[in-house]
Amino acid sequence: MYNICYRMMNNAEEAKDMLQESFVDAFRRLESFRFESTFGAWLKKIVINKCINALEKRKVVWVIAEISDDQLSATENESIDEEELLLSVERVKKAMKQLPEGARVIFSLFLLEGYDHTEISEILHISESTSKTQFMRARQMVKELLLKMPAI
Amino acid sequence: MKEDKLEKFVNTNIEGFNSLEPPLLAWEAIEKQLPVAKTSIVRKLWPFAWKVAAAILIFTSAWFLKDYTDHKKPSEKSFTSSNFPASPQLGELSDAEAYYTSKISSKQAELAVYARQHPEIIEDLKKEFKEMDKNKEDLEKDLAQSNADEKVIEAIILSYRMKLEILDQMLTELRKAKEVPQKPAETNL
Repeated sequence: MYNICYRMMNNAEEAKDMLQESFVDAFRRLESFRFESTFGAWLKKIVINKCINALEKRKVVWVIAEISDDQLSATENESIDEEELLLSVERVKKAMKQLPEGARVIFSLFLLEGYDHTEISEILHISESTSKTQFMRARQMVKELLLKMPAI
Repeated sequence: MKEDKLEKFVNTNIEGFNSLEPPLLAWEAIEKQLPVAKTSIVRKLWPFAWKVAAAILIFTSAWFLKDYTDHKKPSEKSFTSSNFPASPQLGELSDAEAYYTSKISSKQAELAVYARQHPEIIEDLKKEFKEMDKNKEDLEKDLAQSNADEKVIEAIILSYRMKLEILDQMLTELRKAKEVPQKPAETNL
């Protein structure tokens, strides 16, 4: 759960605060846990909502720029050669840290926390297609950052 | 559709993205903010107080029996005394562990009655507990490394309490669910 908080907040101190507040919330709301999902999934939802609320207070913008699917796939196909990507966990983490907040959150929610675009659209109050295009945009940005990153 | 290289990489290396350990300080602050939870646990434990008393009695009897047996073996006795927990917090932890373990076992035994009707819930619970046990093992390692840090002890106790709360909640729900279909059966008799 701490890893989720850290990815969402991009800051160790804030991640710790979010984790604390989420656990306190979870403990207080334990009676409302209805076994409709696993306890872990229930707790994860609380953690993510807590982080989203904190980010919204900071006026984080979830949508970087409205772009159509066609525009996005055209840009993607042109600019990135997948074979050139040097991938390691540390490099991807580093690239994610450099993303704008909204892009980082959508990238994390989809790829690392395992939510689909319908769930992300509900969590962030955006449309499903916006979630898809924003994720593709974020993924593209990570790749561009990886290409610019020195090999060592 | 061609699988994206970056997505494939993240999916196959997901563990590496979850390698950060939470800071210890967080547990202390969580514990401090839980006055409501404390009272509710006491309230929930009350109906099972006799079982707790029985568990404590068994535990204490076993302790005295061990002590008595040790008296009969002087050489072993001196060895045990020298290894007795030096920190009072460690003593408290072992008491708490004995208490919570017996409580959790008794709840799990109660829950086993419902295993046939709700295998999926029991399966989920097993997974959750496995995960919690893994976290507790990490805490126990921290305990050894931190020279019995009070915060680590609190975190271990909190993990037991969390388990107990989950079991309590689950039993309450399952009892409620069981009561509903039972009523028409009773009227038929």
